[in-house]
Amino acid sequence: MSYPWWHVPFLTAPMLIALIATVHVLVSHYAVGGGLFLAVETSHAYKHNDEGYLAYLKQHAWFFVLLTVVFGAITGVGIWWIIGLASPLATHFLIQTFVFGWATEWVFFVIELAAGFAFYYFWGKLDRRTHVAMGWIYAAAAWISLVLITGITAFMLDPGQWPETHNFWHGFFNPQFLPQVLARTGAAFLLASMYVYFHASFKCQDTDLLRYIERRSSRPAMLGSALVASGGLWWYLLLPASSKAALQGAAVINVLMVIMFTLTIVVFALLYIGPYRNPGWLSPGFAIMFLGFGLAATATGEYIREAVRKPYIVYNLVLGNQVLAEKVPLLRENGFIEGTRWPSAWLAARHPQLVTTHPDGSLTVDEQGMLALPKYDRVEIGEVLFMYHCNDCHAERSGVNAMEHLLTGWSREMVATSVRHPEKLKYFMPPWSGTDAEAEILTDYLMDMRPEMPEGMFFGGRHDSLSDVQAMIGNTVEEAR
Amino acid sequence: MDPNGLIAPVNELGYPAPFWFLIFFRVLGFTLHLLPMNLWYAGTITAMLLGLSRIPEARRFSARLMSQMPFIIAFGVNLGIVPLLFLQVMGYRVFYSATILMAWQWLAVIALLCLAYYGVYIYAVGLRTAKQGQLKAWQRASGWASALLFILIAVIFHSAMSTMADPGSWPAIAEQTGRAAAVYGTAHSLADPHMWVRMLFFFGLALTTTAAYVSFDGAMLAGHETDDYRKWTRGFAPQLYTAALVVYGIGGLLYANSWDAGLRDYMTAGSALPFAALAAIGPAIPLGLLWLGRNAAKAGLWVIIAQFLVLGLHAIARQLAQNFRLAPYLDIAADPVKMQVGPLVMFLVSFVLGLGVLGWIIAKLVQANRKAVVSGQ
Ligand code: HEC
Ligand code: HEM
Repeated sequence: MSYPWWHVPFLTAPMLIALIATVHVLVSHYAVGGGLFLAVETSHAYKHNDEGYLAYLKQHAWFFVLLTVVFGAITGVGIWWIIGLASPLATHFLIQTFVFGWATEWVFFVIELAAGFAFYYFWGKLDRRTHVAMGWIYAAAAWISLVLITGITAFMLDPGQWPETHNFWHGFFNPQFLPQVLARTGAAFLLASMYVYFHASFKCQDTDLLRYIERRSSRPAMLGSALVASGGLWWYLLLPASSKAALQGAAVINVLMVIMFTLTIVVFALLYIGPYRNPGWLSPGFAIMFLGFGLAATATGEYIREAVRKPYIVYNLVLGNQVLAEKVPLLRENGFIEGTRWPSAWLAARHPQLVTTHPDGSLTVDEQGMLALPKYDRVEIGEVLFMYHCNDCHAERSGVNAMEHLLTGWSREMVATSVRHPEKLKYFMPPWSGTDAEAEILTDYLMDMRPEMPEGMFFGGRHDSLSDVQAMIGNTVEEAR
Repeated sequence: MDPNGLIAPVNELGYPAPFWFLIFFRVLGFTLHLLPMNLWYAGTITAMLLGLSRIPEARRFSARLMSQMPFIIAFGVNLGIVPLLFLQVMGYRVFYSATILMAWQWLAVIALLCLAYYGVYIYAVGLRTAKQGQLKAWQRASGWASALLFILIAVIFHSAMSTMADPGSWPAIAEQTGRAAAVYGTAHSLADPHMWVRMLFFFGLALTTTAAYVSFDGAMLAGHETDDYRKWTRGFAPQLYTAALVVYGIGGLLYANSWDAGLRDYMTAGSALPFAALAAIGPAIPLGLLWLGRNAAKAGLWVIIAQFLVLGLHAIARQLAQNFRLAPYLDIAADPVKMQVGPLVMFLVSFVLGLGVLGWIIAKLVQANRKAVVSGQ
């Protein structure tokens, strides 16, 4: 990696990405679907000269502006901020590859803003046709921005032919592109209706109007949940084999996936029986529950989408620990520290005798010298390796996936083997990307933190060998037979 | 640690467009960001102070600017995206590292901006709904809080840009705020006098933009206001601009004084001299227009155009200084270029079409406003 690693105790830096991204998508999908809702419904209300509904729509537009233009837009910038901090190599990689995709998306953001403001603030000042046109311009621009960003996020799960051709369009129109556009468009419809229910159930005093809103918004919501389910299924069918295995292998993701599909189906059924067939269910309680369902399904979907990429951030290209996949052989040959900026500069400063700097600025690390250091120094260097090779996914002593707890009671041999073959231990871990000497040093660090077996257990204490065990239990293999 | 060893190596992916294209959009984008950003940076606090004035027109301006602020922020933040995108493309070798060193602060920008933005909305809604212009105490407090938050965010931006332009400071930062070659992201520049003098200089600039905007508002946007109001803007703008220039001048001198010998030579005697000089004397144009145009109804339009020019000159000089400071560590023009022609065309085409759509929207809004004036709405 070329950048310093941001060590966030307990949480690990990438978890902050997940946090901000989840919050953002809940609003950004509404920013797309809500725009469509406002365009369609305002046009409908104009056609029927429905003043009551128009008054409600205007109120809703204000809520929409306050939520999407401020919170939605700023948290969107927030994702950009946090990926640069917590995942700089992958971020740089994506930006260099798709900069003009983002620049184009920016154009649509500007249009969204202008049309959105015009739609709300010039309500009643624009003639009806122009007013509705503003709504449609907003909706179209918002949907296009969804499509543009989806091309890039879908690329991360499956870059298609890009690795061979390095062609923007091959990367953008990747195998995951259409399924994800479909699912996200569905989520936009679904969430928009959930927000409408939420807002209307609190703000709309006229019961007849509320029933009317309930019924009308049930249709896009049902369409949305159908799109989410079919897009999700399609997405699943096209997943790379490793992601499918991750999905099936990891209990949490598995369960979440089922929860998500179930939720979507439950929501669809509820919508059909309730608001669509028998309007009258809508109350603040119902709306909150529904919004909760919608948010849960969307957040879960995003979580899964992130989780199944492991060990990659960008499939086959950038590994979860900020290592370019193509560099792994080189790092194994020459050393992780040698190929990683900040650690090598750190080592050169801490143990100058171990590092030779060549005239072209490149470095060579004396690995045997490193192994010969006193334990304290080895452990410290091991910590450097841990930070840059493992801390993306593992906290150290406590917190997310904390290393210490995973190692409880392990023997040195087990730890050493895990360090050398993490991808064999759990195939969603990146492969070891350093030399044997470095693996030794990382093992020193991990053994230094590894806790003994908890007290009071049958196998408690420092009993690794067979004879130890026999001594402890008090009988031999023969007796046990 | 040797700072040279901390600079990210050149990425083989290369620049997606020629260097001049990237730097052009970066500087243009930054200039476009500067205009609205100056208004929330120095303008919010100015508006809050003017809100305390006994002069009704001053209070009127305060209310007007704060009511416009939500739009200024929306578009200004949006315009910040362009330079940031191109900064990341061409400055990746230092940008990511600098922001990671102060990660918590940099991330705080997002939370603080959300708060400041909602604070402005609370104030603006208060203005719209208040009886006889009397805002409730908490609405007023929100306005003040936003003004201070914007200044705080500016401190963070100044820190980030200062840190980015000075890789020589990184080893010490990493040593003090890190462990095992990783960093906690807790660095800050609050103890760095250079940052503060640069901030003073920059705040002066932001204040000049605010003054230019006073005159623009009176000339172009205040059709519904009284003659007294428009007259007041023509009188107040040159005064504020002059005061702002004092801050700008003092800040500029202190800032120039903080340069090392190399940078001073480059800016005051080397090839950057013409640009530095233009940036230094540029504000004379809007200032002259302001004083001369005190009786001209539409002078404000020319003032804001001249101010935009000033901001552009500032952005160019600043870019030169930044490149110069980074030159010992890296050459940002050295990356290979791997043109992405198709995507570039997609961007340019959508950019032009987008301008068309924007033009159409604005035309419709102007038309609607005119109708409203005619029908006395
Ligand atoms: C891309 C993310 C990622 C990276 C990077 C990563 N791991 Fe893991 N690792 C995981 C996940 C996920 C688990 C499963 C945790 C669980 O089962 O609770 C895991 C589990 C483990 C386990 C426990 C395995 C078991 O069978 O219980 C060990 C030991 C481990 N990792 C060591 C490491 C070491 C050492 C490194 C750095 C060289 C590393 N990991 C880097 C994601 C990662
Ligand atoms: C979140 C949206 C924002 C984005 C994307 C953004 C983007 C940028 C970028 C890219 C630069 C540097 C340009 C360059 O060097 O090429 C910059 C500079 C700056 N921004 Fe913004 N900005 C944002 C919000 C703000 C806010 C809310 C403030 C508050 C005052 C602000 C104040 C500044 C200042 C003061 C500078 C100059 C820093 C210096 O040179 O020391 N920005 N901004």
